Amino acid sequence: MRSELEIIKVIEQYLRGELNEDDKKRFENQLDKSPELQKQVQKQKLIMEGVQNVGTKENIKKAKKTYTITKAAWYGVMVLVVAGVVTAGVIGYQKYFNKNNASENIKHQLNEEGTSQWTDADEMIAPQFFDIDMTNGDVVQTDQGMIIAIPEGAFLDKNGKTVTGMIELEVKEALDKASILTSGLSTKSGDDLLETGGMFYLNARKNGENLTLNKDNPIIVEVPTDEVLSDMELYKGVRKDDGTIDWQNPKKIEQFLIPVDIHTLNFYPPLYEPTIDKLGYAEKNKAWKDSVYYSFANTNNYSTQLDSTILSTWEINDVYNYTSVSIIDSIATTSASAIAAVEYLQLNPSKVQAIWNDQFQNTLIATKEFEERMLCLHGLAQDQFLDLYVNNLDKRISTIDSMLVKMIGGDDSINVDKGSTQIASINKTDSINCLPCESCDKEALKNQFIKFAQQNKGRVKLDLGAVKMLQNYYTKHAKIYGETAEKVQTKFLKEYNEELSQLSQAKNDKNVEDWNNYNTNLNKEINDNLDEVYKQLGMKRVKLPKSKYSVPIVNVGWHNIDRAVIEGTIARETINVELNGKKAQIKYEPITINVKESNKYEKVFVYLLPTQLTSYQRVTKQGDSYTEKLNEFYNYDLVAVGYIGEEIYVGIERGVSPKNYDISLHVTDKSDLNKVFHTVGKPKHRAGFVGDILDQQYILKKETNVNKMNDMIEFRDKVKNAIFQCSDIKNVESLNEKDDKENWNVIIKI
Amino acid sequence: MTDQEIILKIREGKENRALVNLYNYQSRVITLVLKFGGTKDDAKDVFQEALLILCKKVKDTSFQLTAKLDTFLYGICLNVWREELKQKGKSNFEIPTEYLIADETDWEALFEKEKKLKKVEEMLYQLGNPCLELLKLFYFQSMRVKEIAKKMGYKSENSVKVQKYKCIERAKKMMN
Repeated sequence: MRSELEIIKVIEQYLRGELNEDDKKRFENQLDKSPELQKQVQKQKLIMEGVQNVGTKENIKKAKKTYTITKAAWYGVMVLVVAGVVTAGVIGYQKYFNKNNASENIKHQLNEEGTSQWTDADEMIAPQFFDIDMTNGDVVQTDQGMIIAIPEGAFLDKNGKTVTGMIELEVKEALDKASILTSGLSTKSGDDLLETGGMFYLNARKNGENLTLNKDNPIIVEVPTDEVLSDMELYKGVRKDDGTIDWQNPKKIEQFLIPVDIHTLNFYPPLYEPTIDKLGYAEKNKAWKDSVYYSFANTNNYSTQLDSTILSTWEINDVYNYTSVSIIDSIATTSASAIAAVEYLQLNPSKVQAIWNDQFQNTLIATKEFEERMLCLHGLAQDQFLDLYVNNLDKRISTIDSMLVKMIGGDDSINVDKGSTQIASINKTDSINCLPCESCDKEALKNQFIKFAQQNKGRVKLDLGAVKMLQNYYTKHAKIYGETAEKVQTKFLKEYNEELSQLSQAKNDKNVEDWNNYNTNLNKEINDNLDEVYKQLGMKRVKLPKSKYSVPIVNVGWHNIDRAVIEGTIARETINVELNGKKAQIKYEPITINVKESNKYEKVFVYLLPTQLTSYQRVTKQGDSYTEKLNEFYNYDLVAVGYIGEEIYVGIERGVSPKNYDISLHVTDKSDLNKVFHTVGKPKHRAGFVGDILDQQYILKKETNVNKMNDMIEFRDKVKNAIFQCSDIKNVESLNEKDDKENWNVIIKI
Repeated sequence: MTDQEIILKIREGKENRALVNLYNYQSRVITLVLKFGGTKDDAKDVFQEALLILCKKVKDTSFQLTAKLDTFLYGICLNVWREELKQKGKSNFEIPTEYLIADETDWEALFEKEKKLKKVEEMLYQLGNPCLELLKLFYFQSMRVKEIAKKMGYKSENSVKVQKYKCIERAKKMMN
């Protein structure tokens, strides 16, 4: 090797850290002394880093291509290849020549026409080779993002027979500025310069022999471009003796549609998914997103503002509240009055649901082109425009685009007023996509459809083998939303109302039960206290007629003793009675219970189980602790219960007296609560008490569900704006008036 | 893909998958750049440049992600955008605090270096294939000489090496 190359080698080893310690030291010594060497090292380092940059940038471009294929807005120029060398053209670049001996790029002696004439471009562009099994055909993606679909039977040998087995496909491509610059490709057609969207060369060989294409079963090449121009044509490249290519014989590119799996497309309103993602539901699957979206179907005056505050006024500890029936009614009334009235300009989600399913597979609806239009149809927000596509499935999609433009232009009734445009512009700040379709500006949308029409896209073409292959390819590479086209119609409102009524029912039942318990306990305690007081006074007790204690006590002028005892018992105040110089007393003294770490639990209840009574007493919470006054002649066991999710935590203290208790709770086996409370209170307590613990958990669960649903309602309110981006709120006031009247009717009926 | 998976993929040299994932953030970057006075095309350029810087930073073994990867990416984007504006003579753009990156990057030096490298890249494209191909396989894809010989159709490993040094020699000459 020449000494210059040896130096390059050593510098490389130095830079890559491949020199051993001694050599490295020696090299660095030299480096210190020689500015020239420093310069060389610096250069070489830059070259290495430059190569890294080139590689990374190419990967970035490739990733962009891959990303765009799998995402909605993928523009591609579809080219049916029926000849050897072909090009497709769009955007113009200056021609650029750089003479360079690069014949390494020509790996085969003969070109596709069987001659050995090669051009600069042939020499400059590195070939990519793909081994393709012709038994099934294949779809390949090139370095620069071309997608080539080769169906079975696409190639013929020199005898005109279909080729089977492995073949070698050679591809050269110059699709972007950089590669066109380096390739020395010119865009000359005769004496004119063409705008070009890229150039490519294809050739297929089997065992080194050129193959020809089967005209009946063409290859499809999709050339990535950022913009599709309508007047793009496909030119045939003819090699000239001076090493250039002349582009001849232009043909209109047949733009047809490739249907993909309809479930891989996105027909949601443009802001819908971004909004859902932002609200933290990005992980939800398509079925879930569908159900939320479709649940907005036919909702011209639907509102999610069901009043949920009504529940918070309803406290379970409010034992004395026996207005439960009217509370249920007021829930109903409130929700009725909260049905606000906003009329939305929108595509009806049920229309979208109707096309987003297997019935429309393989039609123009199931294409990426329609997906793009769908975004704008959401902007136009009127079902009739969507219908236009659905009713003309047999037409070229661009024909329908033109029909739609005419319809917008010729019909004055389509008027998106200023109010809604404002809404749109507000929403737009949230938008993550910059398509003009997101605005509700009719003119902008119309222009977009004019652009669509100009793309001159055709029909779905299913009869070609290559189309089928592309279909599979895209389906495989697209984001699969759901395996099946499950049509999920949400039952959200129904479920919500069910949960709500179950919760109300449970709370009502509990209130009635609590009230009964309270009465039973009170009756018994009054009875016991009267016995006690009479005993202390040394008197024989006159029995009151049964069942008359609780309600009429205040009004009936019974004996002073009875009255004092009854009132004291109800108030749970110490009872002092004096009669004929004799005194009797029943002390009520406070007990205070603190539950340790009570914040940890979703809810905590504290029970007292008086052994003399048949039922439990729930202790009310005051501040951070639970207090109750104990009857000095009763024996009480204390139970505290805490809930976290499905778990029940229990703390027990037997034979409590009027003082302070700190109780810690421990998780318990709720399958056998009877056993847990085996030694607490009296057997007669147990059924009701254990039942109450489970009931409270049920209520808690229902409350959690309802709260979740309330969150959901709040969520839906936010989503609503994304779905109905062009909502028209001008009618709100008048509708509200009407609504109020209806509410009056409801209230009066009650 | 999680942030960590993306970082791992880039470090393993399997950046394609990672990059495809990162492209999910492009639309957000477009919104950002539009907000700060750029066009959609500006935004796309900024995003590509930012991806390059991100890849290089991640490949640096001392790199540690201190925020979420997207936040980090947006931060780079805005630094790139600020540099763009500076080039256009508008140097009054301040990056909003929520997009500031808390690390010790000397952005000025970084962009100075990238500017230099851009020239080198152009030079490399002029150098053309097979040189560029060969250098990419060796320096970027870290492919073994033996495999390069096979892929590019060289007779021996030695001829790959000699060819490579010749290419570097030519490149160096072009840098004069």
